[in-house]
Amino acid sequence: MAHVSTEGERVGVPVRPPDASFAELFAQHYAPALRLAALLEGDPTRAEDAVCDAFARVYGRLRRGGVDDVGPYLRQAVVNAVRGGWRRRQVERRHAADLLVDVTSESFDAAVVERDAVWRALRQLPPGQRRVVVLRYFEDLPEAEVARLLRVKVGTVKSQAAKGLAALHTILEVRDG
Amino acid sequence: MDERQAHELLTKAADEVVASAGLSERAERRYQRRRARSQMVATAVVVVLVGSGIATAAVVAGNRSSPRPVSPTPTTRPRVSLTVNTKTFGSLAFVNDATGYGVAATTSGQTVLAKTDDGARTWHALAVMPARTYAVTLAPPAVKLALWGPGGVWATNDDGTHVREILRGDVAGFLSSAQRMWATTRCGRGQRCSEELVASDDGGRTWTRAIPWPAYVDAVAVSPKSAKAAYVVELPVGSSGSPEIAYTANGATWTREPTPCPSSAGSQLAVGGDGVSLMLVCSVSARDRVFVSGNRGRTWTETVALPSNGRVSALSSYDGADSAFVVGLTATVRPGWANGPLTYPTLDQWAYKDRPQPIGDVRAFAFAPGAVMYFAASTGVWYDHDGVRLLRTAGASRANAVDPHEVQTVSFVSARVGFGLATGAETGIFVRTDDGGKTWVQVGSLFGITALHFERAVDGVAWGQNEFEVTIDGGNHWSTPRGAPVNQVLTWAAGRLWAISFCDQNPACAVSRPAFVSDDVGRTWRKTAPVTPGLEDVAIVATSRSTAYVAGTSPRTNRSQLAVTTDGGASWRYEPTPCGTLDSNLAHNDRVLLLVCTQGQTASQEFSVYTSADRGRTWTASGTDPFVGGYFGTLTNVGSTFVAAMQRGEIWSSSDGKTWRRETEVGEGFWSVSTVPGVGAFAADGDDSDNPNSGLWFSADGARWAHRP
Repeated sequence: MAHVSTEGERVGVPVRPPDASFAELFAQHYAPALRLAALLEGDPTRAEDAVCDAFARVYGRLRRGGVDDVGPYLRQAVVNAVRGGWRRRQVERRHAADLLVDVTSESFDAAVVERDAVWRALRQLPPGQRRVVVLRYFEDLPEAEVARLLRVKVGTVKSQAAKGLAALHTILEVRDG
Repeated sequence: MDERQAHELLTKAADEVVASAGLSERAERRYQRRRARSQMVATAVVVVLVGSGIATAAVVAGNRSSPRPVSPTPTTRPRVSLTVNTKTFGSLAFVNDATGYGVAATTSGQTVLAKTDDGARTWHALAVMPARTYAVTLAPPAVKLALWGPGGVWATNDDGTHVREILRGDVAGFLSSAQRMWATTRCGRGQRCSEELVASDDGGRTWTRAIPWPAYVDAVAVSPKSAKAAYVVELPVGSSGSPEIAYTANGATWTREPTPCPSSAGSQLAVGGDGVSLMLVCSVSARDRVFVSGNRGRTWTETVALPSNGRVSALSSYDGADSAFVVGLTATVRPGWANGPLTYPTLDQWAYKDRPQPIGDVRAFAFAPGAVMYFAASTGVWYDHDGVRLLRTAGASRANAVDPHEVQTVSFVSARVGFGLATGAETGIFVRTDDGGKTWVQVGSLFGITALHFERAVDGVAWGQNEFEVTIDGGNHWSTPRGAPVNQVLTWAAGRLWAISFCDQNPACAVSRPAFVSDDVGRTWRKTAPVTPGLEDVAIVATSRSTAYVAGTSPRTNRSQLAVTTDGGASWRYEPTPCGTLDSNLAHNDRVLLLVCTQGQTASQEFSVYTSADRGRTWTASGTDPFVGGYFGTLTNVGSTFVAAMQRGEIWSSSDGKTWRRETEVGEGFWSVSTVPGVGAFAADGDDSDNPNSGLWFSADGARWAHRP
């Protein structure tokens, strides 16, 4: 007998801890949120403010029953928090020069140097390119979803991703000589 | 560096990120501060509502349904209001032309039993079902509604409030007549054994074997003429031989006849309204073959061939007709079957209506009394109301009130009537307001849609990546016209829509990109002269039916350029712009063209702003970045005033594009601004109901904005 399947077979069950305390929610989800915020900011040390902001928003919405799946909602909140952090931007600009202080390979092992080089390369990307690169290649999101998160056109995501990837390559290649 | 290498590098870097001590407490303190602030605001709102009518508050509060646990067993109401994705229906069953049921996925992924009470215009989820629930069927009165899948058969007679299992096992198929239910069950995965056909006449309390001999049941169809009359297609027990069709008039004695099908499984069978006419679809390797019989399967005639790129995915007899059938096809070549259901016979041919829009792969049929045919396709649920018109339903959850804070994209047609897209627990919620944005009600759901524009209260368009939809009835129904541009940016002026497809890293893009205009709100489109070359990061603005500007980055030069037409797109003039290679935004008031480049003239600038008083031939820089620290949202004009709505919750306005006035603390970050000539503009952020400034804002002049709480 012929079957007709629904697309519902292919998708997972949403995750929602309806009665979780703030601390429980934070413990469950902070690590990926912090990593994402750090990459979007281009600096791990300034990601925490955005993450606090994002969790404050998400938990409020969660308590009201408006969140089915914490993951995507938190991701959007992190992106918004990183982009909306006007005060952080001012701090970022003031300290921009500090962030570009060179780190020489003599004082670190190779892995640390490589990671530091990636952070420095990320910071050299324009903010728009950096966000697209992180969401596209770290979060592995489709172009349409990146466009939705960043509120830009899909064509912009395509071009920014290509340009960002090329820029990363160039920056890291120059570093490696 | 390729994408994989980039992912590995970023992952390595991210792995070193650790939280500092006390971060959780810091975050919770921030939440408590936000909560305290929002409670103060809520108190103020309640005081206002007491004076203006508490009913509004009750409606809005009612939309936030109390959480209920989701269970993997099909016995629960959905915990929250779930949006049914009408593009995923795999089964439909209609009680009458208004009330029907279906099995579909929600936008958040659950498989649900869904119901409509308005002729498939809106759908709401009744019960969360196991993921592999295939179909819903109208069943005898004791059962009312039966659902089935590989896990068994479930019944509900109270619209999903209680769902009970009536048959457990690996159910391969299920059918029901007015008195009897039939099911085929498999003995177990990987076991060599026959499939059983079982039947129940007591609402599923007891099941008895319906065929007394071992059989591999491939298809079953029940006759509308008799409660116990049924046809069964059996595969041969051995490796050779052909399938046979067995018929019973009384459920006890059977006659068997050969069929013209090959021995492979996958046949489909339907019985005509006369109880003796049959249509048999045989699954063969290259193309499904279809046979008809007018004498209960004693002799068969092959129909003319089906189109070569479609396989039969749904089969039904035409309600009320003795020997007419309808099949739904799934295309073997993407993007999908375009022409909708095929009916037979029409002068011994397959026939389909010349639809004005592609239908997509057809998955299921359901007939309501009066020969109203509904069918589920990959583009949504459609109905053929009067044999002429074919409409796709909007597919809403219940017509709930929607929190105004969640409306993030708006298009107003007057001071009171507007449409929008809302977010929240689900995506793609299409809403309408009739009171200037104070209250919003869900009209339907639109999937993959990120923007919309309504020209009048009935005529509108909505679009997103690879999506373009048109409505002519205020968003109750939507369709995708053939030839509509996709992957486009749109603008409008004086009743004309302009669209240009943006480049998709497509080599053809370096040559040219077509542009389109529509004078009937998106129903038909006409190509204009192409923009040569095509542009990346496109922005477009039209100022009249004849004049439009397109800005973007040329893939040839990697520099920004402006294409200008003043003859309705018959020709384009090209000018360089002072922008770099990044995204740009365009607006035009009654005097100057405004260009905002999302990269400043210096490294410390985020934006640079230019104006042109000669249609893009020469540009004047406006000086330093006026939007310092912002992130661009929307650029438009309200009469002679330019408006830049920023993502961080500011709206800037300027009459000349050079000096800008900032309105602060207006929302969290704007998604859209909708201007209504002679009325003003509405700006929506749809970001966060905790923020007292979040929501809809209105301005009569573009400069001074007032919150519409």
